[in-house]
Amino acid sequence: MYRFIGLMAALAVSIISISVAAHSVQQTKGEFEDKFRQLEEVLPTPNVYRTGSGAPGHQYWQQKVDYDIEVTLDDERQWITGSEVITYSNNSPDELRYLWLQLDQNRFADNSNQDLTTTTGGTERLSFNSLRNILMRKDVEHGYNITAVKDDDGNDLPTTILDTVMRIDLPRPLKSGKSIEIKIDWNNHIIDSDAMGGRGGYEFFEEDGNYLYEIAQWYPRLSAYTDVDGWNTKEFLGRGEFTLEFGDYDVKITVPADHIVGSTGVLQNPDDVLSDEQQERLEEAETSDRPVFIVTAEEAIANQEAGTDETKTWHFEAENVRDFAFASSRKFVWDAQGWERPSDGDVVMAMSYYPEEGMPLWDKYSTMSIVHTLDVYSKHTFDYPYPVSISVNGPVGGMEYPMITFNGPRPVIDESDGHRTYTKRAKYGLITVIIHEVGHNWFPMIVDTDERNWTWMDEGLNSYLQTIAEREWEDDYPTRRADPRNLIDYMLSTNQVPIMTQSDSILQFGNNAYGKPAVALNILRETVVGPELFDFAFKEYSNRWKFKRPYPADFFRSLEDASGVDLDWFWRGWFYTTDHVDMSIDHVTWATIDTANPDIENPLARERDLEDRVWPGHNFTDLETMVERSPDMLDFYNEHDNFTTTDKDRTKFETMVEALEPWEKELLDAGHNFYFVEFSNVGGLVMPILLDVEYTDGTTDHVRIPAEVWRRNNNSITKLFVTPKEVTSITLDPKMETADADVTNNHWPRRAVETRLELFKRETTPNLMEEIHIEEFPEMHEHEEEEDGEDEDENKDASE
Amino acid sequence: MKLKTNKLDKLFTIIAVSLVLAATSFQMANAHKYYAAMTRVQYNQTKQNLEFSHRFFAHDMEATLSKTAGQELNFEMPDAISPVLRSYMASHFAVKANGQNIERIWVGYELDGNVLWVYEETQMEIAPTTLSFENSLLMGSFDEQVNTITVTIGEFRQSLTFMEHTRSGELTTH
Repeated sequence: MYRFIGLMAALAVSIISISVAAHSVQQTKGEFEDKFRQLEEVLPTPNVYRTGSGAPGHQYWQQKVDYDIEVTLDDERQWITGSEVITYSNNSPDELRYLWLQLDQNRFADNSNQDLTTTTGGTERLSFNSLRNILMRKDVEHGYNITAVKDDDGNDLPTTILDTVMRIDLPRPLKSGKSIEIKIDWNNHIIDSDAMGGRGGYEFFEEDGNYLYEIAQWYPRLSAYTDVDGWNTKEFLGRGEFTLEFGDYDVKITVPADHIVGSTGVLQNPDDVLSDEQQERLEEAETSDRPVFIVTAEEAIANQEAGTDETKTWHFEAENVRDFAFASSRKFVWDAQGWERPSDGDVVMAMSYYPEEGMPLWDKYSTMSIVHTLDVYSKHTFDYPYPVSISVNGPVGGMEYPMITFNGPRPVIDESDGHRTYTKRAKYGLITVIIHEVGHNWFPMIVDTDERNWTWMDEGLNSYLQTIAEREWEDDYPTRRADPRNLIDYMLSTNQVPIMTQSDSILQFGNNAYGKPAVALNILRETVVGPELFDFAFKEYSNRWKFKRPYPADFFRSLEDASGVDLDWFWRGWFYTTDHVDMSIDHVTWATIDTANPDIENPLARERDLEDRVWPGHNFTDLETMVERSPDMLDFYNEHDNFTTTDKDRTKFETMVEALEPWEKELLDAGHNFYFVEFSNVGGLVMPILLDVEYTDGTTDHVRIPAEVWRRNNNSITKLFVTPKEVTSITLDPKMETADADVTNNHWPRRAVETRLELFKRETTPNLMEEIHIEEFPEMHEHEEEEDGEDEDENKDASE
Repeated sequence: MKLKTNKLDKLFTIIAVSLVLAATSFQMANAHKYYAAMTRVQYNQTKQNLEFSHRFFAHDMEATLSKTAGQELNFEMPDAISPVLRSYMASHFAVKANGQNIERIWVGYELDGNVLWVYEETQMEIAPTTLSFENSLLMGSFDEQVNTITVTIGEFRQSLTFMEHTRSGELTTH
């Protein structure tokens, strides 16, 4: 009984202390909210692993996991059989009694946690795809068959499998600084990517009976063990992607002898798997400034018709990567082009693998898009460190792995004439998705963030840089993910969560984890910090955490530390709340100086008085008044009004002026105009106030006031502008830089702002659409008619 | 196809489920998840007009309309896609103002980069006091489709969320 009460008391105390910790400092009088309060009490306490500046600490550590894998791909059964030796190096200061591994393929199994926790739509409808998925989970065996888990002496190790994670109990604790070898054998069915979704899988081509494989998350991988979370055992529910360790890979992939394999890493045995001609072409590609075919379309088509029972083994090695993926098919066309790394002049091979169905489009844009991404991202972060960068066309719409990416868009067949064409949207869809996926090599493949928990840390940063790369591809590039205007409707909506939300709990995933952080960073660069300081800080963050694992606080702290700008208010508003931006010009008061000189002020006062006395209705000018009929009724007061200047007034003024200091006299005569501009913050997010002030002389001032103007009152403020000129209008956020949601309150004097719909009605330009023609490729027609014409593959433009 | 509902008891219902064509593969595990349609509903006091501005990602709509029409459609073929879009908007979005069904007049559509805007309007002398919506735009196509309607009437502003299992919603505008 006592114990029970004691427990209750302890619980009560801990609950109180939690709520106190969450609101350790409280405003208990009035309603003032300090939007500039420092984040210190929210961010984790810095330590020897992670410093208060956002850099890795002097005792920063991370585990290293090396893999030696042999895998066979069975093209008859779409099956993988693998055997791996994992070398786990414990660099942590801790002793480990067990290891946790990720078994990602298990999420496709019937009754996986993802399956069980998926809720259904309404009771009246079900999509064909959903039904196919549900039935395929039941009918087809998915998930891993783990056939052996042994230590380096060949003894079986005890394991426990929990959905997508597996614990291996070690025979003796793994001490800090020691390493251990584990051998695992497994096999599993490869998923049908179309039916099961997923970030890899196979695609079946009905026309020629061939398969194309994109193999990813395919081997049992070590979970991350970190100073922040310990073992990351959060199960895979399908969204929060991967949290992994760096290591070296030696992978031997056995496939049908007529397959071409594209993979993470560098091919170690070209003589065994490539023809002399292919090797010569690869060498030629190294110095070419346009892609060179290693396997041409004609060769690929010839290759896909034969088939074989022979196998070949492709041997790849990759250093310092957090994952490993590959693609394999007898359908692959293959092109390549060298990219010279600026820092050391080494050649990185940019390569694309695609079925002939990807032409014309892939041959023109894929490899060039890789090269462009390597250029731009290297400039803004650090040089691309790996020896290859690959883009593969297959069933996956867009997905990234170290050195290799899977990208979806394909041209379409015009059924009327059999020509294969691509739409403008497919073209930019492909370039966009390749920039995005290749860009992921930096975030999170090298700047190794915890994707399972913080999607925005890779998707948001990458979407921001992607927009920069798109703008550098061509002027007026059609997608503008980081454009503040594109985010307004989302920012206004009430069904959203803060960016700082765990990956699997996010509502409106795309806008939350891609769009909003991309726009926020863009605003930070363009509007808050300025490009020079921001680029320096972003580069500093990237370099600090290259091949290391940062968490949100490390990003927030690094950007502030390196830019030298206090950004806590910005992180607070944009990342920790769901406020939106809506600032308003509420009122403007115009004032001039009272010179106190009666000869100047009295006539002005008389003028104002007369204006005020104008009778608001009909006037009586056509009547003869009493004093007009009888002028003797006028006296002294009619001759002199209140504004007549007397000698006494003048003397008083002169006495006053004599008493002034010279600088005071100067100010009195300067004739300044004073504008008291009242602003209010309707949306809640504090932001810099950007103004265009136009004057009667036709000139315009661009005024930029830092967000700190809101620090003492974040609801309404009055700002005084002093100018010798007369203001005709003031516009708030004239270039729409801040995602201000309501521009109707952004003008003084108030201006009728047309709604989007009104603007459209006035400017309707539907004919412009008709002028855009679909690209045609006369040079391809001959080839098309020969080889194709029956392909009814749908447009795979599913790039974002 | 739909059949009538047979009510057996309060907790158990048998109905016929219609299978819906979907435009892309199940749950694209894709690095780009933007399955969101945003609708602004605004009462324009000066024009006495209730305005609907729908915002989509153009290729989401292209994929959906292609499935609906059973042929490949894209916005570079305006003559082919416009009528499909119009009828799609009419059948997947419905509005009641003050309890009465209202008819929306088609204004047009425009493309802004990869964003598609669709405009519709209804003349109304007085701003509605209640609005209710049926919104199944792009649903069935993308399993994670989340649609948002944000209503602005003068100072009033409120959002409604629509997903597979919540395809209708209503609000009072004061």
